[in-house]
Amino acid sequence: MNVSRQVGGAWLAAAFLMMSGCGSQAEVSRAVTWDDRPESVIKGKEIHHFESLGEMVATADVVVVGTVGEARRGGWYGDPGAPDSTRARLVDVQVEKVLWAAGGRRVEGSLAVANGSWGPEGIGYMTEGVRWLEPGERGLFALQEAESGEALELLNSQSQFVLGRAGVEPSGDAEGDLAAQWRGKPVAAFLTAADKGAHDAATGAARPDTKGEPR
Amino acid sequence: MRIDLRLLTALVAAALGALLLGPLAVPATAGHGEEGIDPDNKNQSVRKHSLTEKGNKAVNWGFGQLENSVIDTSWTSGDADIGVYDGDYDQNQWVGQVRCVDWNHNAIGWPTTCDDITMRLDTENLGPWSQWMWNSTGCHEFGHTGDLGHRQSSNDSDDNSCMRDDADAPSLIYLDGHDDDAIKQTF
Repeated sequence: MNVSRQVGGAWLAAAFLMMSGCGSQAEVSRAVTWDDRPESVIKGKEIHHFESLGEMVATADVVVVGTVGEARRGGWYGDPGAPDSTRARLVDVQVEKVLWAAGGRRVEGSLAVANGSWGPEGIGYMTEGVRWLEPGERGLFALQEAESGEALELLNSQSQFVLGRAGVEPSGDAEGDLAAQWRGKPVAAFLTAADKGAHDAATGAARPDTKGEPR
Repeated sequence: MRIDLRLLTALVAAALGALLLGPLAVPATAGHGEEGIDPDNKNQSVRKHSLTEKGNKAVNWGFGQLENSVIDTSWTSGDADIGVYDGDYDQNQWVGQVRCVDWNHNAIGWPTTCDDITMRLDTENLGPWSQWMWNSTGCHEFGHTGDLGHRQSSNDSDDNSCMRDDADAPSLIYLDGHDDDAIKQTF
């Protein structure tokens, strides 16, 4: 099944929701209507690819478990409004637990995290299977500093794990080894493994991913 | 046969909603591997937008790889199916990306195939790399425009495809036979 057909199926469902009064209206800013849900996906080539939670933790600046708050529009990636630019969608994550904070970083309270984006025409994009988070959702996030400094960003498309009643919902390619390993597994078991990953990173048993560094 | 009027009403409402509301009502999608951006035909025109020297070479390389498949590629200075840019996009996660900026829709507003694609290469993240990595990225992104998804070591056991999903395979600069077959299936 291709991407467009996936979009189409969900599109029809949302059309029904809106017709039945359950949908939300997109915000309007000047001439741009910003989608309130992703219309399409961004595909690409990433710098990191992780084989284990320990490797992911060791590569991160910050790894937290937290609860998602409201979403808002952030800054632009590229020249604002240019055809090749995108605009950040940010969510606030109320930190419940810090698993990893490299370099003695002080992490507490709430973190702004990039989650999805819009094109300059207002189209909402989901990048590489990292779905848009909703307020109230709980998750584990492996994060790095962003160039803009406005918010933290995921290390890559594997680095978001929504923790729900149905178990763990990993982000990224469904066929990815790490995603397949944890999809639907109990949250408690996953958090225990993440704690072990943090321990391994702290002791040097797990090393950062450097495969994406030039050579 | 008994017809459920409530179900019938809901389906009609959904179809009408799709027709009336257009792209503003587009909902969440599910992300999956092994999928790219579905092009709307086999003739894809490409426009370069003020590329750097390395970006230009990478795009030439990727263009050639796609041309070797069933898709015919051409250059244009006007309206293009694929617009290519490079620059510093202030993100540390990726070296190249593609996204559909204009979907075609069927009679009831259902997105079907992509008319216009935007491709970006990040000059900051690719900057330290040799031309090989740039070309690998150009190949990868043009592969996505042919509806190719990612491959991993488990389904690229001979380490031969530029569609591998990470940057740890900079020497992989070709769409291989498996990739070409997958593009054929798109049409």
